[in-house]
Amino acid sequence: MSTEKSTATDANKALVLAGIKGVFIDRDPTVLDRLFSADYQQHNPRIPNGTAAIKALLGNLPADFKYEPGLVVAEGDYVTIHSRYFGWGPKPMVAVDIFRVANGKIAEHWDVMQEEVPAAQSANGNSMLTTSQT
Amino acid sequence: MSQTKLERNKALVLEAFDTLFNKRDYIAAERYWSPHYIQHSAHIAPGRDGLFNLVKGLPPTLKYERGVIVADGDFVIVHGRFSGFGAPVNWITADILRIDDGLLVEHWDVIQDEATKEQSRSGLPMFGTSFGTETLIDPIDLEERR
Repeated sequence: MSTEKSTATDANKALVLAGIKGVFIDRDPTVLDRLFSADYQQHNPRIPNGTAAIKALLGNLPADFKYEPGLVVAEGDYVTIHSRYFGWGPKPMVAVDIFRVANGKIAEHWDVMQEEVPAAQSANGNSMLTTSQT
Repeated sequence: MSQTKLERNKALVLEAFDTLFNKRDYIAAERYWSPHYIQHSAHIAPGRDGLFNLVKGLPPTLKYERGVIVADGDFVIVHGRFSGFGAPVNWITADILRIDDGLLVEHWDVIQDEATKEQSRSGLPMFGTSFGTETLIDPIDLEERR
């Protein structure tokens, strides 16, 4: 990989981690104005497009909500994060969030979420989670 | 890390998934999956055999489509859609593979039912650029396999 490309990937990784941690750990709505694109495209079927919807969601998070990022895999304009959300649903949820960065802002988001199956109840006895790198 | 390695790892994952899920060529698939494959997907039995046996039990209509694929170090994450496996709704997946020495050695995933256009509050699809087409389903077959 060329240094230029690698640097861009690292910058995008840092941007997305600052964005998602700002939202779900610090619960700071100003990161949405600073780090996210004004026309943020949303592919999570339960959330409308744009950043106003995320601000509204932030205000409605339950007291026991907790976001735990795990493995981060980034390349070019795409940054993906494996994670666990507590308090998003009745049970802890495992997720992969996929972000596309454009013009230095977080521009588009896809995710896949499911209820965590504890290792003891899994078909293979292993945890669904990866270890945090962040 | 070299760009070649990342490109090689992505190609490995795509070829492996196409070989196992679309071509259903279990002999050829052994070239991609380590015999010491570590499984973290909650519904799949341990090891390479656990995965291959699961696929062997699925109907011939099974289809895997890949979306965004990203490689970083020894890891690849690929966004995908499984259809035609006997359930009424397609599965959208994010598969995480760890690669060692040209083989898939470890796997995690997240699986979610695909939302319809009517269910999407943004109007955008969960996967790709369009909403999944309805797949042929056979509820009796699904019940039998449970």
